[in-house]
Amino acid sequence: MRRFLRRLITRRPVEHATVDCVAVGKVLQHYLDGAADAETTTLVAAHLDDCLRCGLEADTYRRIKAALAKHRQPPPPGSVQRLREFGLHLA
Amino acid sequence: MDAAVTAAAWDHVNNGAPVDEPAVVEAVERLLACAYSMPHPETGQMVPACVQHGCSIRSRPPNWSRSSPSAPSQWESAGRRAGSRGVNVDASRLTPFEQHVLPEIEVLLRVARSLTRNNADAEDLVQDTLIRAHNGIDRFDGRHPRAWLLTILRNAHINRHRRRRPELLRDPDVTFDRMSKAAGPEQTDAFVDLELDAELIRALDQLSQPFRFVVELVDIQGLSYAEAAQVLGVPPGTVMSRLHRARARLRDRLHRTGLAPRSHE
Repeated sequence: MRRFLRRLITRRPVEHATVDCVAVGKVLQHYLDGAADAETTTLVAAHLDDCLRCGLEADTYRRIKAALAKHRQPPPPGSVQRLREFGLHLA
Repeated sequence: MDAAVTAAAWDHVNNGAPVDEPAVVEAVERLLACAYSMPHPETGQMVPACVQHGCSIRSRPPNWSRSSPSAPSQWESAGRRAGSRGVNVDASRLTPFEQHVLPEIEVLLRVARSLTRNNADAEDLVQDTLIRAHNGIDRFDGRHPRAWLLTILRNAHINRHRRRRPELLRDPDVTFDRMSKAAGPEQTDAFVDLELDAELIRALDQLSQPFRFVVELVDIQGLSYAEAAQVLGVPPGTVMSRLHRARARLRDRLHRTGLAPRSHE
C-alpha cells in the first residue's frame, strides 16, 4: 500500500497529489490510529477534507474508537490491593 | 534513568543529600512513587523492581558495598506497602509466582473489567486467574508472563459463564433513566451515543474471540499494536489485520442499524 501511495506521489507534486477512495480506505485505520507515515497522513487528511464519502467513513471509525475508549477505566485501588494481598497469600 | 541521575537520587533517598537538578528531583519522585520493590541482588536492600524504576548494578549508589549494606531506608516501608515479605529476603527466595504474576495484577484487572464490564466479577475473575496461575506456575517457562496470564484469564472467563448481558442496556427503563441524566439540548445526541454504545457492545460480544480480544486490548485497554501482539503471541501485522477487520464489522453493524450513515451509497 505504501508503495502504491508513493507511486502516486512521485507522479505529481505533493501539493497536487490525490489518492482515490479505495487507496484511502486501505490506510484509513492506520491514519486514524496515528500509525501512518507523514506523507500518507498528509495525503489522507487532504482527501478526507474533500471527499464526503471518506469523511463520513472516517467519522464513523472515530465514533467507534471514542465509544470503545469510554470503557477504559483504571481499576479501583482497593481491588488491586486486595488481589495483591491474595496473591501474596497464595505465594 | 541515567546512571548519574539515579545515583544522585539514591544518595538523596538514603542519605538526605541535597538535590538541585530538576532531573534528580524527578528521579527521586519517581523512585518514591514506585510501589514494586525487591531485595537488591548484591546488598539485600529493598530497591525498586519494576522496569521503569529498576536500578541496575552499574547505577547503584556509590556508597553501597557488598560487605556493608546501607542502613534501612524508605524502601523498607515501600516494600511493606507493596506487600513484600521483608527487607532481609534474598532475591533467590522470590518465587516465580511473586516475580512474574504479582506485577501483572493491575493489567489483569483492567482486562478483566473489559471482559466482564463489572468490578466485582472482574475481581473474582482475576482471583480465579491467580489461583490457576499459582497451580500452573511450575509449567511456565518464565517468558512473556503477561501473555501467559492473559491466556489463563481468558480461559477462566470462558469457564465462568458470568458475563453481564449487554441486553440490559436495551431495557427501556434503564435507557430512560440514563437519558434523564443527560443534560440540555444534547439529549438527542446523548440518546444516539447511548444507542451506539449499546449496539457496539452487542456487536463486540458477537465477534469471534480473536477479533473481539484484539479490540478489547487495543481500543478499550489502550495497548499498542506491538503490546497486543506480544500478549496474543501473534505478529503485529496480524493484530492490525484483525483489528481493522473487527472495526469494519462494528462499522457494518452500525450501518445496518442506522446508527451511522452509509458512506458507500
